Amino acid sequence: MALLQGTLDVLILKTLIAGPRHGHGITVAIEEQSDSVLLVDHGSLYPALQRLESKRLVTAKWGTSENNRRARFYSLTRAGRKAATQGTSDWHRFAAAITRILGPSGKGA
Amino acid sequence: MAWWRGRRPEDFDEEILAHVEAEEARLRDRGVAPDEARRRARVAFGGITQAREGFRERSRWRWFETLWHDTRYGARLMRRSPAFTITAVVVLGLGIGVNAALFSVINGLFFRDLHVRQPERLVYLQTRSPSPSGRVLGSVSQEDAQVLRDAAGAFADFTAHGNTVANVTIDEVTSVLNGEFVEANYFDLLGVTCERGRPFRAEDNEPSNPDLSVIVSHDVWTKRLSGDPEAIGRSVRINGLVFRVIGVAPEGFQGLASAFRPSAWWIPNKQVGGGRWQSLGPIARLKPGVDLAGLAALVAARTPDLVRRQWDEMRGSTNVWPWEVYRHKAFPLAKIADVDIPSNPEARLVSPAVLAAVATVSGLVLVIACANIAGLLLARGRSRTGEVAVRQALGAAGFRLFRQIATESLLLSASGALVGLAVAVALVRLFTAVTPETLSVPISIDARVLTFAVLAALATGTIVGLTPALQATRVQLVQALGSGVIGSRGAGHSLARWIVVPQVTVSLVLLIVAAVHVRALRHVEVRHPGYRTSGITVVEFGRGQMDLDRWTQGMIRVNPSDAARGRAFVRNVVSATAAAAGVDQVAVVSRLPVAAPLGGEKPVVERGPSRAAQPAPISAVEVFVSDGYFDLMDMHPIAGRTFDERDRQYEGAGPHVAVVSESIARVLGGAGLVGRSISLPADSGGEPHRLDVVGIVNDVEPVLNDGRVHPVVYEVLGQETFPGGGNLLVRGHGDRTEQMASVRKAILGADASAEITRVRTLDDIVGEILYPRRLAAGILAAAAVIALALACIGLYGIVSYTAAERTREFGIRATLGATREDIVRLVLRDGAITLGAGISFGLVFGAIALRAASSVVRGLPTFDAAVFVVVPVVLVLVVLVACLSPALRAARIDPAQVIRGE
Repeated sequence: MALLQGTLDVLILKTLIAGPRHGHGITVAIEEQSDSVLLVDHGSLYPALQRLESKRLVTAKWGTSENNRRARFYSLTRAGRKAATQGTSDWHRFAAAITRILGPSGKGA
Repeated sequence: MAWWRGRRPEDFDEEILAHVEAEEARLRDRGVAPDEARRRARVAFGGITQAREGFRERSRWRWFETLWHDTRYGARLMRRSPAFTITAVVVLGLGIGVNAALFSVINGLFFRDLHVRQPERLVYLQTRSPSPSGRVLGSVSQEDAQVLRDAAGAFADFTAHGNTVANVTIDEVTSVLNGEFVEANYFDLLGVTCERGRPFRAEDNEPSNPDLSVIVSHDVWTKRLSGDPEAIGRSVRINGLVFRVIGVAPEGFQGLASAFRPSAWWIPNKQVGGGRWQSLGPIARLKPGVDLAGLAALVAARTPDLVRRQWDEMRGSTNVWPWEVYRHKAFPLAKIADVDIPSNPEARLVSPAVLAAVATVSGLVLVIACANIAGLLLARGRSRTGEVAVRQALGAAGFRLFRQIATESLLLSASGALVGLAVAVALVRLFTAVTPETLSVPISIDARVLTFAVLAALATGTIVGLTPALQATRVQLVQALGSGVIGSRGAGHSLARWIVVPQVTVSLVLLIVAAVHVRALRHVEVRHPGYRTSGITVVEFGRGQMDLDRWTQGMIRVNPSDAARGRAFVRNVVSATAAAAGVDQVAVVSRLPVAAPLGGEKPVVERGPSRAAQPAPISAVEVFVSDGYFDLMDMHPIAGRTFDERDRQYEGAGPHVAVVSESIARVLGGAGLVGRSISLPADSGGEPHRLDVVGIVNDVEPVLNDGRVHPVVYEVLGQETFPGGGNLLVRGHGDRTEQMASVRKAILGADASAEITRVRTLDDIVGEILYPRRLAAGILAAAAVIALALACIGLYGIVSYTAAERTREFGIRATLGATREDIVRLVLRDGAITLGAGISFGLVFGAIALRAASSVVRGLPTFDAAVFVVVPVVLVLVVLVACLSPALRAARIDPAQVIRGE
């Protein structure tokens, strides 16, 4: 399923609330939490991470992954935490508005 | 690139690999076979190279890479077409360089910070002489200063100053430094706080106070007193008199004397003489709530009564003009900034209007230079259509192309800025080289000028680069490629013309205004002032004390016992000098005729019964000369005789004799005046001073034309005055340096107290006086020539490029039988149409500009037929010569080659 423009940023921020993750970890988390409905393509993920990093919403640090590999871990900054909350509530309002128009449990988005 | 906060591509690569490995591990955990896991992880990720490219494209790192790439590409292009590059860089360099140089000269000379508190509240006061000439004098007498004070004390506070030059001796080292004599409240009124010590107090300016005090400039303190923290209280000898340093002026404060002659020291005016006729420049500070108009109104309303009282007092003791004439005496006011250099008429000659013209000219030169570059880039952009089209076809984005071309023009302007800086440095050097040594001109390329050059370059690069860049990116791909890359008529062509036409127009306007200015400025120099200026050396000498005559614009009169010593001193100096090797003629004069008198004009009337018949009032300055002066200066008697040995008997007591200028005789009875006597008011205010006229000589004029004759009453040096020194004039033969060495030795040997202040030739002095005007004329002429050169380069460039663009057309024409002459004519016609349009506009705007300029600048004609004919003809000739070479090049086109190239 394709993601709506801008929602990927919120999803990334949201998954990082639980703690630092590396790029692959974020993909897996989004995939699992959406019951494999949302598959994040690396072609969207890394540009998004790059964008968030330059906006200073996330910071990155090299660390060791669960399989003992070096990996780049992303974590939220203070501004990122705020943006995650803001983005979530914005999304809820947006989704509610769309739902009101399309009616509940319609197909597609 | 470590300084750049950004991720390196390698870092990103590593992250991607980590991602792929993590995915591989996850698949293995789910039980996928290792090889299959690796394959699937890679497939899932997609193109790793593509991801890498994406990263690079997005990172700021990329931005620099592109810039570097564009710059290298631009540099390569510049190398590949050296003619274009050199033209563009030279044009820009000239534009920026001329601007930066003019900027620093104007900035240094005319916009220097006075370093005083609220200069906009300072008013400079002048007098309009009641004499028939009615001229405005930059300075007033002590008496008039008092009149002003009485009239307007309620609206303003007053002070006064005058400028001079003297020998300053510190630690046995003597040098000639400019200084000012000022009233005690000068520093307080200007709001200048001494960096050390204190300003003058009222008691410092009491003539009876035996302690002479001086305030020295920051420069003198640092350089001559080696920044001595104990400098206060040290003694400094000024023309032999010992002064005690009481203060050090703050850094930057150079007095108000002249931008060309920064003051190095200040002394109180009354301690060094300064009687009723001492000429002073009065300065007023407006009290809160008062404006210039208010003060002027008060002065105008109240001075007539005071002038009347002054006249009544004078009438009791001296001969003055009739009241009907005298009542025209007035006191015009001006803002200090408008007078730009108070009490120094020679420096004031560069009027703010001329300055504005110079500033405008320098701005226009840059505008023309920009237009030129724009034209060149545009023509080039046009000829590069093919290249752009090919690059677009190969997938270059519009923005990338735009950036590429913009980078190129910035590269050009950066090179132009470098050349411009070199040009500016050279021009400032040249300027310093032509400045008379005796004038101190603090001009240097400073940080502000550098900033200016860089900003000018950037602005030029951006503005000028954008148009052709935008034009280039709008190239219609298919059309451009399809038309064999070179189109013959297009937007570029007419756009180029629209740039060149205004350029020719502006150049022509500049040339016209500058030429008229230069011609008008030339008239300012008087070719035949009535005396010779060449081959004369002027030695300023004094009797081991203040050069008092400079304070008072005349010889100071003192008690007779000292007068005898003074006379003997001068006589000894003159006879010793006359005996020196290589000297032919010697004379002494109190005031040189080359500069206009600063004031001190006195009414002259004939004595005796015929007085009532005097048709008009006349005033004159008194000049004291030794016999031999008229011969030495090549002046000739018109009636009677000049002074000779006989007149020396009149020294001291007895009837005094005078030689008057022609203009006095014209008013007072012509040649018949010889043998009769005249009266002048006495400085002491007592009985008028009687003089028997023995001769009439030709009129003299200052070398700088002020449109007036300056009548002079010549008196024998020492007959009534006590000569404390003066200007020793020497004419001689042989090597000048040797001659001067022997003169110097003779003077110093003649009297133990003799001191020499300065030695200059009369021509040098004339040069100093004419310098500001010559400078203005020189700047204008140089700017005009550069404008002409730029216009030529611009037209040349445009004609060359349009000709090159039409190569194919010419080839076809040649094949169809067009002769070389036809093609030359075709190319020239192109230039001629543009030139013609530019010249028509230029003549119209030139006439308008001249009319506007002449309403502001005095002495500038409203129309100058010669200039309006000669300048366009010169422009046409020069431009046609410039266009000839592209025309001939076009004519040499080999049709076969052009057709084959299709």
